[in-house]
Amino acid sequence: MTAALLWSCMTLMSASPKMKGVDRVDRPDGITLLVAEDRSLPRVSFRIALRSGGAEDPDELQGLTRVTSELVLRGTKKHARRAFSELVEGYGSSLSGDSGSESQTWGGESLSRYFEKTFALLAEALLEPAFAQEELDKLVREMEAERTTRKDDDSTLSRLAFRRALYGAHVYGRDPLGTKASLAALTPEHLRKEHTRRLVRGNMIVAAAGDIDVATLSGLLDRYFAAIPAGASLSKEMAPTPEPTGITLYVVDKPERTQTQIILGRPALKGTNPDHLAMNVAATAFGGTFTAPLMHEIREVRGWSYGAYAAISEMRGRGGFSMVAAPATGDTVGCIELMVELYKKFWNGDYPASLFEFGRSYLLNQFPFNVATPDARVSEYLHAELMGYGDNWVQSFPDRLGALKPDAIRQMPKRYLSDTDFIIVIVATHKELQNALANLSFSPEIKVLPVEAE
Amino acid sequence: MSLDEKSAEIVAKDAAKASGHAVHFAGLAALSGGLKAARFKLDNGLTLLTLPDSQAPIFAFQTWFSVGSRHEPKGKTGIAHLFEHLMFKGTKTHPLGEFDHEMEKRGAQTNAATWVDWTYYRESLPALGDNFETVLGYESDRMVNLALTQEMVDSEREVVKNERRLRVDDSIHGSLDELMYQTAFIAHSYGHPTIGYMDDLNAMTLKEFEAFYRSYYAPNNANVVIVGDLDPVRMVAGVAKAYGAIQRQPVPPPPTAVEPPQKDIRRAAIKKPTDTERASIVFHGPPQSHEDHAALQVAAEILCGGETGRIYSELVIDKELCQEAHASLTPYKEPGLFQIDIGMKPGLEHAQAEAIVVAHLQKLAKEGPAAKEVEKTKNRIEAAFLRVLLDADGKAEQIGHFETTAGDASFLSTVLERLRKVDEGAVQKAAEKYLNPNARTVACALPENEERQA
Repeated sequence: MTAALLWSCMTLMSASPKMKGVDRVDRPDGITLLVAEDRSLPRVSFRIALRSGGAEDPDELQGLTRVTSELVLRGTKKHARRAFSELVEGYGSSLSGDSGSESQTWGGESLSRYFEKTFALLAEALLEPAFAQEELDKLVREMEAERTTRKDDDSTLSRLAFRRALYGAHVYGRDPLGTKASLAALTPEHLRKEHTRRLVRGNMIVAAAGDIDVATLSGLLDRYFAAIPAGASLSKEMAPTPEPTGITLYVVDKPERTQTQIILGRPALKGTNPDHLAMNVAATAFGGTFTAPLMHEIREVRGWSYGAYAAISEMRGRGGFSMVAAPATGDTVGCIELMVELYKKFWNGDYPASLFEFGRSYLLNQFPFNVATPDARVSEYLHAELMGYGDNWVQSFPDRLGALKPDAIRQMPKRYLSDTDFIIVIVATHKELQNALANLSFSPEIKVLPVEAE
Repeated sequence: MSLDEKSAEIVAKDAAKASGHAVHFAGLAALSGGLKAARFKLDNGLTLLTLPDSQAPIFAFQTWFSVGSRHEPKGKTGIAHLFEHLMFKGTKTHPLGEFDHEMEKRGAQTNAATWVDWTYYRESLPALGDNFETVLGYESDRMVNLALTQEMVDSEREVVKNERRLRVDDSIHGSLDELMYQTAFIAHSYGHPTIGYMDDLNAMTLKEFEAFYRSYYAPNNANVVIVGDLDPVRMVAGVAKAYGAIQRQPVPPPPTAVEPPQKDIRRAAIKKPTDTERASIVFHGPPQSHEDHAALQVAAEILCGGETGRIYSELVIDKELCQEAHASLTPYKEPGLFQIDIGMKPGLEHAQAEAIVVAHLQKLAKEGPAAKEVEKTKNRIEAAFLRVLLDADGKAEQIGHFETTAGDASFLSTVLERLRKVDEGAVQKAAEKYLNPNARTVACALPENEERQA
């Protein structure tokens, strides 16, 4: 038994006695460990997460977090990129970096017999990254190419345009790829300085699932990550997000579309808001299931779109409420009119309480799937930890859900949404729709954005 | 926990007694990591595979039918997939919408998929109360009692046409894939798209769907797979009781068209509103059951697996000609394709990259791989195998796929065994036999505003 187990190790059990838990250790050095032990398969998946992400990037260096996440794994002081990859892939393991506005993560998986070696390589990458100028230049060229190729995917285009329109200059509105100018301005020194500032013990969570236990993981952490300095969490409150005024329809104009991607939405509420769960139930009941009114009216009744969904995002700041559908060009205007009509009905509390009771029981009965595998369990706990929800968040989900009253859930849209101030983003061929859009019954302000600008 | 033969015999007897229908134990199917599914047969030809799994309090229920787009004649492309959608439209006893509502109320994850060799329906639910018996009731009912109307067909036809616009017409990847299969196969029905051509979708009639249903949705053309936290006798007796009275039907023989050997280089191109060229370079390969399949899978990993894959490292990392490069092999019942997909950097043409791909294939066929490359690949493939066995759904999918395409779920372990035995010589021979540059098909998507060659 290592010293770690003498600290505050506890098994966080879920509501169901048959549900397996996650072991959590708050080490005195500030690092939080989360482990979902399961010996049924000889594999381990693991993640090292920082409680800070792209929101930390200075304005003129947007994209720094994304670049750091990837560049860390492209060569260390001991191993050039190729040699490093040869080692990782030689074990059959994988390592990758990921980043968002509020967190940064490195992780991977390996066969049990190669876990320690893979974990040691991840430690080497994080503690001794080369941040070579040549690799930085290469990655920047890669990201610029990605900026072009992502235009080929209409769904990606619509999500990017929606985010930008919704959040504007707020950090949530930033392009994860940064700007052309900000990428060009990045130097290895910027990366080194920021990476060193963020990779501190109080800012770190280490999570693992599978053929591993807390004692082993804690021991490996002591052995391979001893050089990480002390330091506090960089998790912080997000600045207030902007509020849309009126109804604006943004058209991302792309040639030869036979179909239109539509997203309707607006900022809603923070993930930490006590009403977030109720709002999530409301959105699920309205458009999160196959039988929900949104899907029913658009797909089942009219056959207008393969999918039609509503969701609420969960962020430290105000996450967005969104409704999406993808009708044929000829059905676009009718679909937009219908989405607005259904949205207003949702906002006004016109759906019966029984719908929200249904949404609540759906989420409650779905819960076992959220924690069915060790990987899923540890992901849920890691998410809660990154959001700063506290120890009991995941396992208390059924109780928190059970305490919600359907009638109160029904009132959530009116409390956090607006029937007069929201945006609609579509990716379509503008000339095909120009006249019809001008005749929309709710007369939105229309802004056309050339696809080249995206 | 897997059953042994003796226990499975007892389960069959107990299930027969409890259900009033004959149940025959038909052997164990060894999977991977010591897991064994028990196979049972009913007198009407239905095959049932069970795997008790107490990892989480849930179960996966899947019904696999041996019909996919391979069975569709010319002019009826897409009927298997569109019919899969219609299976959710209600039966003589359960009206439209009841199935989805009941499943969602219980927290079920439901879906269905159609591919070239099969169609399957899946439900995953918490292993609580009468959830299992409820699923059995609905699934056995819709195997024989589907009640279609013209209105249902018309509405769902529009949904599928929108799915086609989403996945093919407005998607460069989807359009390219369709073109590539059309060009590579001139006789076999693998050449037409599972989602179907728009003209065929428009022309399908209610009568044709009813005939398709009667032809292929029969107990003797189905495999039911159950994995999860349920008592084995309950699983088997439940299936025998629910399905035992359904009559077997004559099932049409599968199409017999054989693809003639390709002896030339075929090229095809589409123009799209894009800044980046994409190309698929493909070769005819063996069916999944063939011994060479394993060696070619290893070859695909050696060429494009991870950062160290030969083609990937040269095209993407060293020369920066491509943004991406993947290699894959189809897991089909009949001879399929070995496929290399490349996405060029904006502004670059695919010819230079294609020449490099061809040179690598020739080198592999002439010199074979290094022992280290083969070893690395085996580790990666082993890790990938473990990943798909993480949850009940993943296990059920593997069992269903191999039972349906290879006639035996234990082919999963055969595949793994064959992969473990692959050596440098086997990879070289397979590359020499199948990856002949003079018999390749090259399909590409080109920017429409520029003069470029296929």
